[in-house]
Amino acid sequence: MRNEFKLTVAQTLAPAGAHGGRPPAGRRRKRLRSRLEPLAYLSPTLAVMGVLMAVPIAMVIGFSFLSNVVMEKNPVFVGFSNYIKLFSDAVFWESAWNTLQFTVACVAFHLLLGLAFAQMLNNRLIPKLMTAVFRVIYILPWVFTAAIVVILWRVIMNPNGVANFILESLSLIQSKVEWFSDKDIALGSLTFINIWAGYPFFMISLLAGLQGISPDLYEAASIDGAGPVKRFLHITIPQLRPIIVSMAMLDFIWNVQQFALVFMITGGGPVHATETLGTYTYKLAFGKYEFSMAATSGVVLFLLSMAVAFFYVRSQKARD
Amino acid sequence: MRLKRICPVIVAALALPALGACGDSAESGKADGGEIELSFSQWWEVELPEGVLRGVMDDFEKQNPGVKVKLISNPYAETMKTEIAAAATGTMADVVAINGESVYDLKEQGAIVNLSELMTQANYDPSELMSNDQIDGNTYMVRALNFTYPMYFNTDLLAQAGYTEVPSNWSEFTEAAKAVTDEQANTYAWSMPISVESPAGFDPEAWLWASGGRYLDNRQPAFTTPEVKAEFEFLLQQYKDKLITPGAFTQQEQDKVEEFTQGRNAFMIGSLAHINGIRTSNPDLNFSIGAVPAQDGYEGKRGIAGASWGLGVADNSEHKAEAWKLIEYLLSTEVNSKLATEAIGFPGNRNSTPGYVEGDPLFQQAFDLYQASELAMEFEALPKLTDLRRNLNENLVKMLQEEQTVEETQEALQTYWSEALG
Repeated sequence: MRNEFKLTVAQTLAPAGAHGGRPPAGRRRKRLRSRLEPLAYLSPTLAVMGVLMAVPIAMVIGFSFLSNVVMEKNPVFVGFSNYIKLFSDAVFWESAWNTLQFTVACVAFHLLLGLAFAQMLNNRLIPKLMTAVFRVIYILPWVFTAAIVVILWRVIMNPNGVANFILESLSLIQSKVEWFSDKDIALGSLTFINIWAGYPFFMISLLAGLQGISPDLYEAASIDGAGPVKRFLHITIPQLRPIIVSMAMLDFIWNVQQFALVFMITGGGPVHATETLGTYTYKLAFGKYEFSMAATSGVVLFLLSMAVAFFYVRSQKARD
Repeated sequence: MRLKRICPVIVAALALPALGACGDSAESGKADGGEIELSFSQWWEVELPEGVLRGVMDDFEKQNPGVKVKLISNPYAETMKTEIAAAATGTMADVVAINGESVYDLKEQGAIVNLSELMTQANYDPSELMSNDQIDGNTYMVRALNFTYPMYFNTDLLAQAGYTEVPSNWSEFTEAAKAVTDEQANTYAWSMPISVESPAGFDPEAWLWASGGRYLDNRQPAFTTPEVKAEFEFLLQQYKDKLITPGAFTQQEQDKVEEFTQGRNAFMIGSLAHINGIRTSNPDLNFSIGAVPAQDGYEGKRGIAGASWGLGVADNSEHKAEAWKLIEYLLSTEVNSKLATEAIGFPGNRNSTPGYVEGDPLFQQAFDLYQASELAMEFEALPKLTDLRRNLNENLVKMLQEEQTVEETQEALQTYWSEALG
């Protein structure tokens, strides 16, 4: 049966010329036109993508193989020496390790907090008006721009700020905590702020997913004797899994590239305690004026993001 | 197949004009009616009162018929980044506002011209300039304005602690600092922002400069001197005695000003430009201005930290003579006085006098101090200065956290700076 079908399709798609002789010129033109037509429709998008994405990416990759571009009038090809220099720099590895810790913690807590708040907002026991109010309150951190978030938390976590005042009032600390200047806790403080600023996006997406789960599934599980924990583990999580996977991968990519928040609060310091690949790259470009090295670091960051993006696309395809 | 070959060509053809447009922020050329249009990239218009710089340009245009000036105004950091990028693509504005942080790197890029030649061509006498800094015997930047960083004293806090006189040496300062510091009341002697984000201000450096010491000797690092050691030991002791506001390692310039303005710091090393801001934000605060205390026993001329608003001419400019004419105009006695008055800076022309000194005792004090001191601007025109200043702050943090000794700090700085300046 399958073979018959294949044969039918093959016969239908077989070009007219395949049976001997060239098709008439009119048909050839028509066929060429039908092939070009989709490209013509796509051309504005292709042009924009080319100018805004392909060309800059190609240029940055090209810069990473040249001697110091921008600062040198005639940079020369240096092969992989920029990559060797980058991978020999201890600060690069320190930045990469900080970036990994920061990113993993942010993605994990975004997911946990997002899921917890989404569950709360999806609870039928809470009146609708209250749900709407909570929804507005919970989404606020995500609405703020990075600059607002930075100003807000710099005031709160200043050694003379609100956080220390509350902790001192409750006798939880004896001396002022230097949230951003103590190298042992600075990265943790930044991670905390980034978690606060980013969890609402997870919350909204997961809430939409939760609202899409059929109540029949929970009802059937309850009849079979499943408690709240089992229902959560065996219905909620599997039903949300595609959203969780997609969100986690996207969030990973976004957090690996986080720059504004880190730079505006600590600048990567004290020393390199909060240096991430983003701030490291920026300093190479606009502190040391080593633009080829910055391009090299950018390419590494790009490849890291692309690796995760690859799995994201694969998971999307599997879903489809 | 042919389509596959053609596609990249089409994309590239579309991309090229767009790329060309990206870098071209300040094309010089002829304005309507055959007039010359000079572009002037700066951060000054943003920092000066509204309309001041445009007014100066309008006056210049009146005096120079046929020349129009187009102002390209951005905040400081943005101006610096744009200039470095424009230098690479040969699209700099005709006249560029630069300073000690950028002049060397722009000169190395071949982006700014030798002003000594333009001065000679225009028969300009450089002796009018307060200072004529040179790189390899040539001038690449002239300073339109200088800004100094004296010490501010909160006279209320000092009076409460029983001090009527401001400290003049490190011992007196330490004694007063201990007297005014009250951790429970969130009051500390001073703030020392040494963030690595965008190093600004001269809080650690000013102590050395006030005592006649320098970090450089003939533009080469000299961190291993006894003077630098004494200064680092002084800073370390201040930190250990908890006289410095907590959070110094990520504190920024504006945080320091805020601490002083709100009366939580008794001392502040800051730009003169803060006077009006402090008066507006906290009119009840009583403060004075004076020299940064010097090392005990030092009797020589005090060094005072300074920064500048400089000017250069782009190598890609098609109107270099007219560009110099604009610079000369900005440096002329009257215009330079006006700029200094509006920016609360000190004029680059030695014959100019800023208007603000008349009638305001605090400004008069600052002007007297400026004239009595030696301007310490040894960091001016160093290559990769932002990176070097970050390195200085990083090493100070390590020293204050006792991860390295004073001697190790000196050695680390000497090594890093030698490699950069070598």
